[in-house]
Amino acid sequence: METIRKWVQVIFTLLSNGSWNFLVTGAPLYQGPLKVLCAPGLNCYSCPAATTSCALGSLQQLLGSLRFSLDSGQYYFGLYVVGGMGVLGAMFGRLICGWLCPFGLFQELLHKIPSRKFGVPRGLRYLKYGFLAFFVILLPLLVVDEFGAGSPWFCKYICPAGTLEAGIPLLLLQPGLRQSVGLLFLNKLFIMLAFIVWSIYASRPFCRTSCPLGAFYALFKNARLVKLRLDASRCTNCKACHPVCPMGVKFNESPDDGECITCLACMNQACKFGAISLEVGGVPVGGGVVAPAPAAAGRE
Amino acid sequence: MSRKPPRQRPARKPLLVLLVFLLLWLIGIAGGEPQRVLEQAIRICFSCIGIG
Repeated sequence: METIRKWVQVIFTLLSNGSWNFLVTGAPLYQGPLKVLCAPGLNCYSCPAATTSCALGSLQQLLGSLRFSLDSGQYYFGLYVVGGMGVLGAMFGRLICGWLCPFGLFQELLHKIPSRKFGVPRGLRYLKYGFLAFFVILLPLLVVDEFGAGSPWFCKYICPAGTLEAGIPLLLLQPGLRQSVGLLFLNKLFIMLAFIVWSIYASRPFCRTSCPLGAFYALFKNARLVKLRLDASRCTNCKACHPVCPMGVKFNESPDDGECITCLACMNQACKFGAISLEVGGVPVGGGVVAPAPAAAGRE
Repeated sequence: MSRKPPRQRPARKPLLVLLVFLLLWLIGIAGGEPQRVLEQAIRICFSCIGIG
């Protein structure tokens, strides 16, 4: 199953970044109709190869230009973007992070580099909700320039995916842009490098601490169609599910944890008692290896 | 004596949430937001690069 997940991640990364015309035509970006769709995962729409738009970027742009649109009699509140993200969230929740996000795949590949591995402090998980509330919603909406325009704060000051997929490639492809590089870019470059190094030593640090898209999908932890379920009568509390989780979820203690990306590692690689199963809309559709019932397996 | 396993009920909460967001999505489409998203997405976002 892990191999299938990796392939799905690779396919979605290629689908989200499948326009390579820029190598032939020199056009800076794909400008076709697919860009009206928001990618489910974190993928910068200013990447030369990007075929879809970024939900977070689009939302910040819409909120930042809300005053203009209202003045011109248009009501662009971001409902198309939030509605689309919400539909995906209600169906899959953070499964999207585990299966469809290009930046998630990037971090997983970095984590395969041999090194000593560390955890991520649990308290840092709440930081991403702050980024969602302030950098994606409130600051673009409320902090405006003299013309009434807000900035995409998360893209501008934080997003390492934007630096990696758009900033660096565009500076390489368009030398004319290099003279505009300043402190802002260096700040973003530093943040990107910090997350790259951190990803080598810890599993998915950006997803766990800073991703506003992950924070949004995590809000659906109790209201999503596809999720893992714990059968308490089969669970022996052996804690085998703890070390295999790339997000640091203790599944036997909190099966509805907002951090769960439904990668199925706990179900397929850890639980030998069939206590973890996959359900869709409340109906079980698959489970891990079902060993003998706990009583027969020697549970006290 | 064997007991019948309880019938699995489909979860309603995710469906309700799904419907609410689907409605928002449709309202956004009716308001012309996709065109605005497209207009933004086909231009380089200099802020995203860190030079805007």
